[in-house]
Amino acid sequence: MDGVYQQQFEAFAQARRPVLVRLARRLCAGGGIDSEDLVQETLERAFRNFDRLAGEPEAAVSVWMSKTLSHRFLDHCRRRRTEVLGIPALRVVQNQEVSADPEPLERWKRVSPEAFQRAISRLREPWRQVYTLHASGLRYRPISQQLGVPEGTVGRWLSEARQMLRELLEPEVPSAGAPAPERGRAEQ
Amino acid sequence: MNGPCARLESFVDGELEPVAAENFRHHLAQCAHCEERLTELLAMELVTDDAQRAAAAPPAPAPVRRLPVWRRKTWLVAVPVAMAAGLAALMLVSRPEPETAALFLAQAPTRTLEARVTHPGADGHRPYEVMRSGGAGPAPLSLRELAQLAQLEQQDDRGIAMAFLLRGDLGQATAFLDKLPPSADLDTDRAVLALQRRAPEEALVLLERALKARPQHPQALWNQGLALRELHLPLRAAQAFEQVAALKEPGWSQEAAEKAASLRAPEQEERRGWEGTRKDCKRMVDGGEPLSFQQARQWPGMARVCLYNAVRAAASPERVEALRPLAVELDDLERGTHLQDYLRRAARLDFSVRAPLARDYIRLTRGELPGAQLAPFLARLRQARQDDMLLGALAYTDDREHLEEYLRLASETRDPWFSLLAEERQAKALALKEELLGAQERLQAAVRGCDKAPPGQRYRCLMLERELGALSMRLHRPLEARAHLGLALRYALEGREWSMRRRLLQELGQVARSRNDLALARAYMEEALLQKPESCADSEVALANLALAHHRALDFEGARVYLDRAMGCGQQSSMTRLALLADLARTPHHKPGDEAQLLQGLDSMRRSGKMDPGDEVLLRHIEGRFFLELDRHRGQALLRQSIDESTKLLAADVGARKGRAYSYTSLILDAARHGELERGLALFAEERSLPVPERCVLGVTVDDERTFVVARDAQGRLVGHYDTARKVPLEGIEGLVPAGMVDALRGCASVDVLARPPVQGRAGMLPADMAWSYRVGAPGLSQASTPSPRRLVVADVLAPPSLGLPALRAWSSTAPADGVLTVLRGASATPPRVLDAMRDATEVQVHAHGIIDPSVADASVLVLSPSSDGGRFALTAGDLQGQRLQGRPVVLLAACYAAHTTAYFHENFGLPLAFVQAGARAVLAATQEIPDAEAADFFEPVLSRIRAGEPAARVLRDERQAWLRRHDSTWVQQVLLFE
Repeated sequence: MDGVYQQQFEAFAQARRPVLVRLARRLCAGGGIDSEDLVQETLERAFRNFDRLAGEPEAAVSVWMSKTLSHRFLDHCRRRRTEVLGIPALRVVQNQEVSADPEPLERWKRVSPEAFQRAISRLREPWRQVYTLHASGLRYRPISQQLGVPEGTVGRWLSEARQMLRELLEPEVPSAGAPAPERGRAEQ
Repeated sequence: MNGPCARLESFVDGELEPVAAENFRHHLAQCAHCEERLTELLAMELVTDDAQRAAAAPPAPAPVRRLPVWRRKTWLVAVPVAMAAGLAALMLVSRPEPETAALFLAQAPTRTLEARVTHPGADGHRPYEVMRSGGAGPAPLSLRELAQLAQLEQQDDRGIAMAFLLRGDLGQATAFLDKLPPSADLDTDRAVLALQRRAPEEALVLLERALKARPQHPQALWNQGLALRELHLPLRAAQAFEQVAALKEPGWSQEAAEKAASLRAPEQEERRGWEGTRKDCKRMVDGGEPLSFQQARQWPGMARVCLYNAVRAAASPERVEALRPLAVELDDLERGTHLQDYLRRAARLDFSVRAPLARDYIRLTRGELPGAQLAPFLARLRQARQDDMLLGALAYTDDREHLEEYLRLASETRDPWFSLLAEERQAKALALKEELLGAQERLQAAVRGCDKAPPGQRYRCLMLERELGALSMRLHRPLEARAHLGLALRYALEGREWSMRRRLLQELGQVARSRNDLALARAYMEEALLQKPESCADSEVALANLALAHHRALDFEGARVYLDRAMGCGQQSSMTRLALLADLARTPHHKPGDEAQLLQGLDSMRRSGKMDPGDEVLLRHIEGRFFLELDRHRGQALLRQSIDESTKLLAADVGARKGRAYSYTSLILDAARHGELERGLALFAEERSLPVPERCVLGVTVDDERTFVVARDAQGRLVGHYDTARKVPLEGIEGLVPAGMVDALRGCASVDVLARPPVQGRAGMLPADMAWSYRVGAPGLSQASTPSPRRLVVADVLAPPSLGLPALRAWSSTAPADGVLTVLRGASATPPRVLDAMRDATEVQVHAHGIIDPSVADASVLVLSPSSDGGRFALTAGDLQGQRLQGRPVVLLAACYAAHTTAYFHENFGLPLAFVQAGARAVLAATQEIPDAEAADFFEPVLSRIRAGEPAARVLRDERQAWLRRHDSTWVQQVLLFE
């Protein structure tokens, strides 16, 4: 392995690992899925694709990471579901189908960090404050204590802030938070 | 956006309760829409992170190059060696002994980890300081410390793991623990990692194992206390800490005692408060002092129940008026006026009519009104038009009775409390009529508003969730049951419903038991016992269940301990207890007094008058199973008798079916133990009413620790294998048939497999390169002439949404639309139409879900589209009984068995058997969903060759092998053949 290449990847991994760990812990908490494994698997895939990723804009790399994290996580969920319920792996075949419509994600790739920052600063209060506190890694409870509102309200504001960000970032990002068109009977 | 999808953002933010999060992960695994939104939300989080990093000042180059944190675990163990050793050389560390105190943060005045680790250097006691959120955690390892680690590395992996663990680097800590050999210490340290990940259930399992090896292990006991506390089991947690306190370790002992006391005191307070309020509540109904405002605020549910009863029992308008302040207080809690409105209406009623009725109402609430007087009392209430009292009194009747009247009265109150009660009663009535799915649907709709319900209404929500939990258990959906009961427990904790909490703990214990989660089952049930230790009678069920849990886990010693405790409570015997006595008879844990206990128990149960004929069959089986170990001939005769008695009951009686299947199990394994292979094989055939095959047959049965496999090879030679070596419950069937026996069968053109539940219908019983099929019954009617081909395809079924089944792919035909093919899809694919179309078909393909529904006699059913008259959607094995499939079809069940089939020890895969008995030539059942693009390619040649009369097992083997050579996909190995 080329030393410079490795060093570059080390820097890349050092920078992104904290947010990946935070997300993975939240996704995995109490579910018998090892969040460390999930992060390692995601970074390992990034390592294998690093020559390609290194030339991409930052947002495109983030989108790539989010897809990988999400796919790895869902793989674990499905495997675990099969183990826990003792059911056959029903979705093995369907998996190939469900990752259709990458459109909203593709468009996130075009959002530069600066544009995103501008969008956050254009949020009105209390949405801006809630989103900023959330982005700093705080959970609903400390945010609710800080703002003096119930935790449920924090969740609602945060969800609304996300939707506002999507709208502010139009036309870069379509409104993917809205329910997608009916996709068969997947939600039954 | 409705339903589970609405919780996606809370889930991604890590804000769902553990049970809800686990449930949501199961939802995610099968929801395409959520998958897409999940990825988008994660992208947004990562882009946010990019923006934040960009906004921060450009980071200074890291002064110390830390361990490459991104690497996989397997690399992790290798990297620090080179890295830290290199650093050590740079630092020229020359001290002979590494300074470990700093590594383990042992010099700090307080500790940051509440759990205890086993490394002596890291387990010195210092007061625990709770980390504030956002506060600075322990500093990462410095260069000097890394160098010290390199020195440690040669001899102390545990030490390195601890250094990482104390700094919150769980990945590195795990990697180093992975290098250690199994031990109680290792389990204890792993449990600390699980606790840090907020996985207390996982920690509990590890700690149970550690404590089994070393019962006084101080760190394991301590951590067990923490895990139990996390699971809201305070009294069990206190016990664990008290055991630590008794070990008299400096510092730890005192902290443990403090922890135990702080767990116990509120529990005692809870119980005292609840019992006192309940007493005051009864006094209020009897006309005494109303509950205090403080009681109303603390026990809003109980207070509300009591207030309704107190108004009904009031003898004068003045008494009603005296209750008004309490009503106002409770209304304020709900921000409503329903109770005050009710009091106002009640105060205007005619108390000369009402007072005498109120006296009887009090007797009813006290349980002093004889059953025979209830109906006349109801009639008097109706005649006197005292609707509120009537509504209250109807609660004491069977839920199925007076339903219309109850619903009308409840609705007339316009009080949400009674709307929820009405829903609950309707659901219970449905459940009592065995309409479990209907009941579930009703309850699910009713609890929808519960997360926003005010405190008093939460009491009703608690009851609804508990009912949902019970229903989920009856539907064999333990995960859902756990979620509902977990929520009910939360409501019970919030509403301080102490007594209900105890019941819920027992129920959660049973759910855990049904999932073979022994450590958790025991934790819940022990907590329930500790909540009311003086009441042995109340504990009998919990103790017997614990004994059963241990037995299921093949821990016969533990089963004996709890069985003895249960029997010590002196309650009347139960089926569970007797069955356990019978099972222990073949183990070293049999006791001399067991025979007398068993005979006495059987006698009292038979004389109780509560046994139905199916129960009688089971009791006979238990008797036979027990005596088989003491007096073989007597045991065999009793087992035979239970089989004979079951014969006339079989179709509709679950008890009889169980008794018959278990009796065959006992007889077959008895033959196996005595080396009687021929007799064993004959029993396999006899159970299916088949002639004993002379060659190329394999019989397989398992029961607890025992396995018996018997076969006749191509020359008719008998080979067999019997062992009692299983130490953990059976999971996969891989390797169940020993290699030598597989080889013996290789000379066969195809093999008939007579496998018994729970191993029947599993893929992979024999290798994929052999031709074999599950033989499920005697051949049906024969057909002299070859019927003209008629193909039926059932697809795109509209399953009822309440079943929550994952969507199946749309079916697309590649076959030409000739007159030979009938397709029933969508709303047309109802059970009656499918049955009708099947009769003349020569080939039937069903693309639908199969579920296990215990509310119908033949457990497995195909889920089709609901018919317009009555919404019937299930096609059961029973529906096929008595049918004559004239076309002798080859049936393809592309159905997914979305149920926990391993929970059944007595039930066959009902549908394939029913199809074969109705005349099907062969049934192909796929246990995994089939890809559209490949289905036709694989099944067309299979089906046409079978249609042409080739032996199905060989056709399937050949096509399977050919497929595996040509394709990557291996789903064809999951296709089973039943003949």
